[in-house]
Amino acid sequence: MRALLRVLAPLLGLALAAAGVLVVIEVVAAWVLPDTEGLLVPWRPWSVTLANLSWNENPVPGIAIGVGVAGLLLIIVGLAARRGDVRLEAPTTAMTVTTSPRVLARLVGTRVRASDDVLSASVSASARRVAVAVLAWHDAPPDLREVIVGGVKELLDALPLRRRPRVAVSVRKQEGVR
Amino acid sequence: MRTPQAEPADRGSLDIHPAVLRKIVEHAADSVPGTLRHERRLAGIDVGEAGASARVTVGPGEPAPVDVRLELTLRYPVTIGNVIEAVRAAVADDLARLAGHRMRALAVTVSGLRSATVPTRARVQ
Repeated sequence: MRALLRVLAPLLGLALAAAGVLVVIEVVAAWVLPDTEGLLVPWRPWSVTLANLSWNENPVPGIAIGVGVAGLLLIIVGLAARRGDVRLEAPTTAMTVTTSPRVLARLVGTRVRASDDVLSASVSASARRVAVAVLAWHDAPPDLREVIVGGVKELLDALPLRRRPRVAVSVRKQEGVR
Repeated sequence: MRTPQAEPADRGSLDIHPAVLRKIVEHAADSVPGTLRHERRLAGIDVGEAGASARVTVGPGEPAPVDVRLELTLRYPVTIGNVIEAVRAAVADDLARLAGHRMRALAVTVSGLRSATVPTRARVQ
């Protein structure tokens, strides 16, 4: 959602800026050339059309519903795009201590990749869940998953996390020789 | 005839710019053992090192309360709580001692947990 918001915010900003520039151009044009029907925007024919349109005529209700739905979607995107910070225990109540899911994922990844039986690993972390996908060598021990889960839990226990995330580990073995 | 001078406390005022307070906070945080300077990269290019970065908001009152948002990298493994407490004490002390401000709130974001020395990558020869 944050990525979507980062794309939407500049686009909406540019659209508003463009609309503002158009208004300025049209206002100046209306002062200088009072008889024109609009330099870039045909606002006079639009004004006539809107004056002859009542609230219950098409497409007014459709446009209103569309604008309402778009606004609601923007609100949902904005609310859902909160920073997914991971809260840590603070020494005093006047303090808040956080870290990013990326930091947590890097720590877990470093720990998991330290094993000689692990070929590669990808980690996604949040305040609620740490998911590890491991690609192991073909001759890795059968209890590798349990070993990795134990290591990750040990790491999480050593961190002053306000809420301990659940740990999910999946192991896939690489074919071929080491 | 000379007019009598005003009281020393009434002769002027001292305002410390928030940028100076920010520098004090960053220096105090960087001086705490357990905090690390980290490399700065611009488009993948190494452009030097950076320590803690702070944002400071000065509120009304006497002495002026200061709200601090601090982003720092810590050495790992380390007892994070102890380092954060040491940072809080150092920042509050330096703000009071050097600028006469009281730290009201501190929000710390740990932007990295790294070992002090970067392990060298094994090379196949």
